[in-house]
Amino acid sequence: MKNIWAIIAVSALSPLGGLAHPATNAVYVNYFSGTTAPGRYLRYLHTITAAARMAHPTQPGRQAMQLTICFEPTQLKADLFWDLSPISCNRVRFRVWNPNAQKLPIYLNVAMNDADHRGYFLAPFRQQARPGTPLRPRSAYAADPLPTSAVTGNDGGWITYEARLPADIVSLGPQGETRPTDAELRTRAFSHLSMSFHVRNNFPALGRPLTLIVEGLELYLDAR
Amino acid sequence: MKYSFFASQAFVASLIWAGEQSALGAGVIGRAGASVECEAVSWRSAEFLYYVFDWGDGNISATARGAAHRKVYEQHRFDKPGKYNVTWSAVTMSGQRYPGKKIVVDITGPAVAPPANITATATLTYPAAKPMPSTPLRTTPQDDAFGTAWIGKKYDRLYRFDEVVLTPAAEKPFPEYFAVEYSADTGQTWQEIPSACYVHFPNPRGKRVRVPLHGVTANALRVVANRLPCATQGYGLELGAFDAIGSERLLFQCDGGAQYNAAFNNLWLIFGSAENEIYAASPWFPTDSPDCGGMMGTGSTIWAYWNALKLGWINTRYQAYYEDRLNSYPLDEEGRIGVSAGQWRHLGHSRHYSALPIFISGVVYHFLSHRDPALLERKDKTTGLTLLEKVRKVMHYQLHQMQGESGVLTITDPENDGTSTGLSDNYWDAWRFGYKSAYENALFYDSLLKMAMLEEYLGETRAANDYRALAGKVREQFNRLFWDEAKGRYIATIDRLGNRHDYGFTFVNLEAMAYGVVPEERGRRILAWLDGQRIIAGETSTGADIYHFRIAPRANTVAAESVQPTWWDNWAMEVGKDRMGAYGIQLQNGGTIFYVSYFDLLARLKAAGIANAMQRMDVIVNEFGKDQLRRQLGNRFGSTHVVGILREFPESGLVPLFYLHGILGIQPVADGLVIAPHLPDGWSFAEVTEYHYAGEVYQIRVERNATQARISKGNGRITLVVPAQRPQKLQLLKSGEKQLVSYLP
Repeated sequence: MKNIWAIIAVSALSPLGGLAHPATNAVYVNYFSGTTAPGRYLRYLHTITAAARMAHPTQPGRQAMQLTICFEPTQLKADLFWDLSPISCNRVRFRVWNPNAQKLPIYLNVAMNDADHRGYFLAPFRQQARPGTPLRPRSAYAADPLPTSAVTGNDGGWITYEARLPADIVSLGPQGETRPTDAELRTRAFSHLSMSFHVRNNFPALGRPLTLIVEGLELYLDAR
Repeated sequence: MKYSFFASQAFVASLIWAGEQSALGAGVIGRAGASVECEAVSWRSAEFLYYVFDWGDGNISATARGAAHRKVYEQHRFDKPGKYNVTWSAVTMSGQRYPGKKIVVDITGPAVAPPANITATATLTYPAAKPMPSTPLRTTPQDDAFGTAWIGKKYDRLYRFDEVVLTPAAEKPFPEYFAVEYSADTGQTWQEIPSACYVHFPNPRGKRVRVPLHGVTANALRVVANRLPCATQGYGLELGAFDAIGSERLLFQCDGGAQYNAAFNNLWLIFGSAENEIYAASPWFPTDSPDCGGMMGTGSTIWAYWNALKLGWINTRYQAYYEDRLNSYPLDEEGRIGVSAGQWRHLGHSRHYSALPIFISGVVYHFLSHRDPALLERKDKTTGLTLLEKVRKVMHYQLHQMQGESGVLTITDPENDGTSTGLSDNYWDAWRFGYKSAYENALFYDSLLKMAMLEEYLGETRAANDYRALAGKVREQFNRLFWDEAKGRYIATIDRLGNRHDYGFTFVNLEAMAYGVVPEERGRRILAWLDGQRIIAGETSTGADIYHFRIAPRANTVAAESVQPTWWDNWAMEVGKDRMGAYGIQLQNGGTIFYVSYFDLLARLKAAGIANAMQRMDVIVNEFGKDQLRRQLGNRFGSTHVVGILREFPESGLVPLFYLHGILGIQPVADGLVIAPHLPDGWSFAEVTEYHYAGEVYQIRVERNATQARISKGNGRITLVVPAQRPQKLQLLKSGEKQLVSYLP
């Protein structure tokens, strides 16, 4: 029985620290520390010109992925496409380090696909979480730019993105379904997640290489 | 014999006897010391899941992950007679568990000793506990549960490992997240084993956890975790014991160097038999990233010959699938064959006349390998024709409708006219091969030689001789029509209008060489071009850049977009600047597909000898040692079709077959099995320890110092010893006896 309690204790921890969720279950955690080449589960699309794993001093044993992005007038977004072994989850969480100044506003959207090719667009990054946003067309995202990361407090400037499903599903794919219930989510399995960084067409650094750092991906299947 | 247990509508589990033949009574499943095999399948989840079997004898084992609906087979050996309660459960990627029904297994016979562990020379841990206790094994505790820790063992040589046995430490948590990895360089480089990677692993409650490895060739093993259980004073790994079961006898074994033994065996395990790979459904269907890896085959006619090469020498349950496919391809009244079951057009796009020679070569190679007469007599349900009748009908179409009897196979279908508006005709489906195509004619040449062997086997000597004579004519015409003397290589196609199309196709030249249609002198000129000793001015890729991807040459040395109108078919992706198909970022246009290396190695062997081929093999071995070639490069458009190795490229498994077909020189022919070896310099022997031929298991060993060929029986197999300098042919006599006779190539 000791084994069981030890495992439950580990499972109940919120991996990134900071927020604690009762009865959480981190079902997928990837900090780029395995031996699997990131090219097997990550695809760098559009304006991402380079990607490299890096050790970050604030997270011993973990790694992060440094992306070099060069937005162009004809291509205003950079997608990091993440393949998953089909898995159920109802919370998505990851952290971004944005070393760019606030005068270079970069926005973050997240989308997922399930194993049956249904699309789910999640709430874009906002400074204050507003879960439960009603369904709206994809073009009507109301987002805040990513703040500039600075070494402050325990989080060391990492920007946390977190979405709870189904509440933070803001739009669905072309099949136009209704928002799934939590019970339905448990019978579905997600096979893809994309982190989409985008800028507006008046972005002042078009054509210049910029850096963004992503620290892994966490998926949870929380008890409700 | 099969016993089925229906647990519910959602679950089926069954046990089948997998040991030697025996009269089985009710409830008797197996004998002590023999393997018992369980099947399990669950439909309860959309997630990927794996199965954990609790064998009821203190052992647990787990399968690879995959889609819920696939059937899995798990084997276990009981050492003692008795009645065992076997249970299994499905564990999903999110940790949800679905139990199966308990199965009672009766094991009879006298108790046997468990298989001996392979003795390790050292225990490895990270972070290393100091001092390292002999038991339990443990790593230094860490503050972070998401750190990396591992425990492993080092061995004195390469072994073929069947399984790792992990014994939990008493009163300590067993890792919920772990993977077993191997090293073939004593721990300098660790490699993943996709099937041996587990999440949310159930608490084994003190039972031994057996992780199947299916013959990984390694000299170090480890269990690694990136999400650590609680340990004494922090997080870390603790195990009561780490053992490994296996054998010194490798499948491919030589004394040329450990790197070759590791590479040939593991290349085959990953890309050939694909036993440690993850399947959504079965090894015949692609699995998506991140779980994509090696595959056994693909059901399309386009792969029919390559499938036969891979399946011709092994004994696998998946062989039946291939034989079913052979009889599933549609055939019209004239003798044209489709590209896959019910399909005339490849991916709905174009007809492939290359399927005709490929189908013939595939059927003949498969038949001459297994020599089951019933195969040729199997009838196609749609046409009512036997497989033999179908093969002959397809050949008839080649000879007459495609004018093959003239010595040049010509695709007369206006859609595949070889012009810049024609549709693709072969595997390289972005290029407009057609009309008089060098690629198709090389395949035609091979199909004639294969057909000659089949007719010879059937006693149709005259037909066999006619096919061989025609093959000679095809060779002559091939070299007259397609050779470009100025560039010193073969072009791709002469189109219906008489235009010659050449983009420096490396695969056209190498496959033609491997099929034997190229004279040696021309072959050496081709190699000089590929190896950068001869620069063809003005081409997109020249010199060392042709092998930019190291594992194989670029598909072409002239960019598709450099010629207008381009000969590239944009149906899949566009070529050109800032396009997904731009040169160098698309596997058919400046990228590479790994399988070509099989033909590259054979081509080098024919034209320049074994030393030249092994130089190329050395590069592949070196690259394989880095990451097992688990590479899926993406371009900035999101396409992962830059290099073709994983997923829908089961033909990657041809490359290690160079060991069988090149080094050992094994080839099934009409009246036996030829062994015409090419032992590399410095090797005194090379052998394959399990080669299935005509229903029996052979160990085939080539020795440099042997003076005469030998044949012997024992340990359930027939051993052939062949002198390196004296090619032999194994003949099966009507009496059932076998004999080795000298063979003149």
